[in-house]
Amino acid sequence: MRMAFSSGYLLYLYLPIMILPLFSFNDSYYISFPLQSFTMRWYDELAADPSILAALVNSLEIGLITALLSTALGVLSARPLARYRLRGQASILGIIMLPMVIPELILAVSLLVVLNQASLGIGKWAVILGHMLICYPFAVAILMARFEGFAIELEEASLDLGATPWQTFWRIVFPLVMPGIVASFLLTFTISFDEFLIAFFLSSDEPTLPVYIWGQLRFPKKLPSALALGTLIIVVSFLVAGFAEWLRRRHEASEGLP
Amino acid sequence: MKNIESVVGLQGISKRFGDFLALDNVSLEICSGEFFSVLGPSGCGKSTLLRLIAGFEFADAGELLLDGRDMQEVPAYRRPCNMVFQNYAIFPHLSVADNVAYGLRNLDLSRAERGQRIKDMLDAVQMSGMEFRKPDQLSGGQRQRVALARALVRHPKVLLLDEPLGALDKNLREQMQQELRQLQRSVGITFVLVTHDQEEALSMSDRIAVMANGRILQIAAPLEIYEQPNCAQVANFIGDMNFMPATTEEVLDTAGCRVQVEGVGCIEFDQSLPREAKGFQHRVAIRPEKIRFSGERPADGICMHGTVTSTSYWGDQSQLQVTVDGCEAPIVVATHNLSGSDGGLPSAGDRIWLSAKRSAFLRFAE
Repeated sequence: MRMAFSSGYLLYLYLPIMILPLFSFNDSYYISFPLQSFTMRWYDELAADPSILAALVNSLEIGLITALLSTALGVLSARPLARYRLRGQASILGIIMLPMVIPELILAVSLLVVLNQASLGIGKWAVILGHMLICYPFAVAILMARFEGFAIELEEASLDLGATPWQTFWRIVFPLVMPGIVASFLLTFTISFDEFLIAFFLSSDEPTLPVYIWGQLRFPKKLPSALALGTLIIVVSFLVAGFAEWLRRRHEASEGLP
Repeated sequence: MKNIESVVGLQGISKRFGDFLALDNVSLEICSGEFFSVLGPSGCGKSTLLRLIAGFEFADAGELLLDGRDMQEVPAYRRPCNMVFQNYAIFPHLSVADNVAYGLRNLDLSRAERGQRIKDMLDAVQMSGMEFRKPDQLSGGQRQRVALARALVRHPKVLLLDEPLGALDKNLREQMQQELRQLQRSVGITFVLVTHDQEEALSMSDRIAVMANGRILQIAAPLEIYEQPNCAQVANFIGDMNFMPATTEEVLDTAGCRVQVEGVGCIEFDQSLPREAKGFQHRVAIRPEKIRFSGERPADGICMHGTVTSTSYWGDQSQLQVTVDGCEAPIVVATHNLSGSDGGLPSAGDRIWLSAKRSAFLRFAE
């Protein structure tokens, strides 16, 4: 029974994802069985399309900047939240985590309205702002867990041994919370990279990859190369997630905090 | 100790956390090369005292001198003292050698000198050959040694130890006590040890400060702390103590006095308490191991007669709970189990005589 459930679940989870690569190598415009012959044509088409490359660059740019900024802000917020008992701690945390439960559609539409009203225009930087809003809570949550597991005695020991507060941060705190920083960076990057709604409303003429793919779906002839693109994204995502997990385990194993 | 220079000096130190007074007007002097212990129950302020010396807390009032310099404005990383933390606080991402080297990074030393110091220190704590181990590959005792080496390698004026042996099991703890004492003698650095373990304090220290509720009750050598506690609180905290209500019968011309003690009768003491007068209510105390018991009335000493209510066997010693005629509080008698077999211990219900030397009795005003 348990076996049946697990295999059913795995099938349900992975079958649709397996369809994507399968048809990306299929020499036909139409996604239907039986399969035609093997081809790399869609990947070639992908490589030849400059607008896809531009969308990819947009996505990477937005993802990296969002990840960097929300992780940096996350470090600054998580450290005091985990270390000290602040006045109104619960409400501060609640406000930080709020964007997690506000529907993205609402966030996207309101951001659009506000930015237009303020005549600030939209584009990549507007997407970055929107993405930071939804990434920051994840960064804080991940980093708080890291800072909470960190013994304050280690910082005191470092000061006691003659290191200044600044040296203590770089020699002790930073190396020890590094796995959390990496995890937060990778997660926020992935969230931004995958995000559609906010990017759809705010990216204007600088579409991200998901927005671009969505646009391509209107043209049946472009569908197979969208599948090829999807396949590449899946492969890269698996590699990044696997790397993050490997990093986390390696650090956990080598740490042995008392 | 008086003529040796003082390395730690506290004058009227007070520290408050919100409504809680952690340290209440604490003053003490610790001499160079001394093994000084601060002993007290948890929450008595002893750890706060240590953290204040280390520079992790700052006093609300009072003056702290280290090596003759005022420390009020000096941050932790510029103080001439180092600390061994309760959980050792070994840096988990650094090897044993790097942990020990950490404190030397900000000292102006040549490469060779640095290497030599690390090597010497690891030898001193018997950790040579483990330079490249990571902390998670070390046992509790080994971590303790690394923490010691890491602090001592800086050649501090004072080494602060915050319950350093609390996390070790009993056998290892006793072994480390010996080693710590030997290490202290060989390096000649002043050690300030904070502990709640009275045996540890008694066996290792040159002097002990007993603390309770943020105050220092008594500062004295171990023998004096145990044999002449200056108040009932110290007497009660260090070792076991039997207390018996007493009333002064007469203050004698010879500065002594005659006292009526419940269950004992009349005892003459050589010295009277301050403001003592006829009818003064106080307590007389005696340690369990200073009382002997016998079936017949002993020929000398001060005697009590009573009934055994229970006995307990502790391995190296046995204890008798005795209800002495005319005294409400039960009296505890401790006896070493000299012979292997049942050494003629009385059993519950037996009538026995207790006796002790007059000098074994102490008096407390409160």
